[in-house]
Amino acid sequence: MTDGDGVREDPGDTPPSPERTGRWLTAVAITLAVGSVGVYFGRPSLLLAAVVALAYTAYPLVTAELAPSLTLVRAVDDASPAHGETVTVTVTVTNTGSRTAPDVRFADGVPPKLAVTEGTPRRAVALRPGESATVSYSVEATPGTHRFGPAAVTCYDRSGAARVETELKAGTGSDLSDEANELGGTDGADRTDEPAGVPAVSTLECSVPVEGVPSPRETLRATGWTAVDTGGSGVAFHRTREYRPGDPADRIDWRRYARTGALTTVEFRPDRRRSVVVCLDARPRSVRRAGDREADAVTTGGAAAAALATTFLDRGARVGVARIGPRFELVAPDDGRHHRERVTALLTALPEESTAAFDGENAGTEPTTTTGGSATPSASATEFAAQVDEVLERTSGAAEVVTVTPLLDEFGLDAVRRGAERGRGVAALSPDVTSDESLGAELAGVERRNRIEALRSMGVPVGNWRPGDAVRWSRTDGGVRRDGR
Amino acid sequence: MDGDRSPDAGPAFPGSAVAVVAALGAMVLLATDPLGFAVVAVGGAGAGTLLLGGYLRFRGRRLVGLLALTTGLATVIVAVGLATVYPAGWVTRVSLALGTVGPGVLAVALVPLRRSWAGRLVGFATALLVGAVAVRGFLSGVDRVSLLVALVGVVAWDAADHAVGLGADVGRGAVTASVSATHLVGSLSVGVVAVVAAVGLYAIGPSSVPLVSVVALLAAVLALLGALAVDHLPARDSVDLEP
Repeated sequence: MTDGDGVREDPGDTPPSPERTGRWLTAVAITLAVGSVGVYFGRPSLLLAAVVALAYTAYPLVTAELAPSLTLVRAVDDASPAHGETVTVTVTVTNTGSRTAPDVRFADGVPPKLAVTEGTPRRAVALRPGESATVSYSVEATPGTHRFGPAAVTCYDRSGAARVETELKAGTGSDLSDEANELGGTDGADRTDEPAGVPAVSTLECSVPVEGVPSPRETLRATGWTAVDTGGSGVAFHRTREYRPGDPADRIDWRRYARTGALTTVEFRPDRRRSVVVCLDARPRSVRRAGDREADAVTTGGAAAAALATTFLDRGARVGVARIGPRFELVAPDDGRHHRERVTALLTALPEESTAAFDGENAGTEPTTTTGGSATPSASATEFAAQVDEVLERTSGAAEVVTVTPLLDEFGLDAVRRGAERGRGVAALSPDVTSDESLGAELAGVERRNRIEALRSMGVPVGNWRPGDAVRWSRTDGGVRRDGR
Repeated sequence: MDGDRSPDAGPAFPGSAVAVVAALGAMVLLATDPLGFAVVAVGGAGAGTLLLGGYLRFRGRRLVGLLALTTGLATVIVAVGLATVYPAGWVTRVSLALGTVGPGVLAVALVPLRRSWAGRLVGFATALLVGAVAVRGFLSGVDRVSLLVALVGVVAWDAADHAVGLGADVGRGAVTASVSATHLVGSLSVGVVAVVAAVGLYAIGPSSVPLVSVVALLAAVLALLGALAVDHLPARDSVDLEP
């Protein structure tokens, strides 16, 4: 088996210094109290009782030195679940040291956007050398790339007087799981609870299926895989026209010439390379969710945008990415494996601002989101508009702009308009996070639909996407090419 | 999950049960006659019902849990009342009353009736138990029961404090029984060794040593242990004799 990176964290290499909890100072207090009363009243039995407390004062001094050596293996039953699917996560902590760890408390680093639906990711356990402990819990998958954090582990000595806090990273890939099994086997440990044949993972990839991309409007003048509606050289037939002097001889339709005597030239669709900028609306205002169990629009929108970008890249387009939000980021259109990773990481990053203030609110119950037009534009609103302008300025004129926005306020409309005004090919994808739970939420839904209609009336293809479905642009909504060509 | 209002927050149940049982053990040791045992039994039933109510509440059976909590609290109050009107000298009464309130307060801390109070209430309950030990020792003179009461009292505090820490670290839903058992075994063995040593020393030691010398010895040992603990001289520096 390959040697895994970071599968084990051996505190022996960089020992975190044990921290004293001082909990047995209580025993000192008891000794003093009982002893004083005994001395004052001259009662030997109380002095004897003080001896018991005295022994507890010495207890932390005789417990073994705290140097835990642990490994953690995490396994899931499905590393790429569909939206709403329940994923069972199994975490196994093994004591690889030569001493018993009498008090190991660990909490797995559950991805922040996933809710634990069953079980608990935490456990406290005493581990003999080579022994393992397993904890199982279930999470409900929401669209996006969910990264497991390191498990937080706190080890106490037997008396509880010393504590070491550390973080355990799990490996990625089934190799590491196998390696851990081997370790367990050589140590003769009881590993019957280890799930067999389940790959170890560090991410849950709940990808969004993409069934179509918006049709191209304008493409780069470079050879590529995307067919466009102009005639030229290529492989797909476009049209025939009258021969003009200078047309290449291999384009002349000789059969037709033989039949009718007229010279005609066949034109093919030239393949041009598409260039797309996927622009994600990650403003704090868009961090809204339909319900408590649902993911917010930025997270789901990011997942959809990442899936869309990947689909474009798969089809040979050059893809750029912009993230409109408190932390503005722009990656110019490009391709390649590293670029693909960078694009995906940027789009699936967590929303910058804490969602706590918005968590309890519905998409529609927050009045400022539904009446963005009438709300006084704040400094940040103009700042976000400036970010859109920057995206349009810094990318070439041929690059189409696909804006991913929940359309809960006027920002999305404005961003698409700005692109269209500059003659750019524009499209929008709108994750639907509205609900009909309350009047306000329904109103927000109606306003969103109005915005979608407004965009479509401008001729902008809008994908109305409900998280859990596939991303698609319906033919009536602005022209779709299901195969992207 | 980490929020204070989450039902998962609170002292771990296995450790809490051990703590309440230990506190009840201390009460049983404090009782001297059948009437005293009856008072202890009432107090014990109250503390146990309180903890059960906390468990039921955690398991989502709110109504039954609330009923158990109310019954338990009422029973503890009745037991304290009985202890205060106990037909004996005031010292015995105080000892019994302290010993009845102690487990009740401990159970209230571990339910917990109010989460932010858990740690302080555990400390308060321990103080009550120590008070009961002191009064009992004053009463008995050379009785060795105080030793056991002190031991069981310390174990009760230790288990309760450990349960509070466990609850804060991994929550109530997590499996903690093995850790609580390991911890209990450690504390209990230290206590048993201490009791045996104390009784042995008392039995074989010279009886003519003046009290002042004993106190001086006790103070010296305490000062030494305190210095070791406060300085926390690492074991590898002081006992690392192997090359």
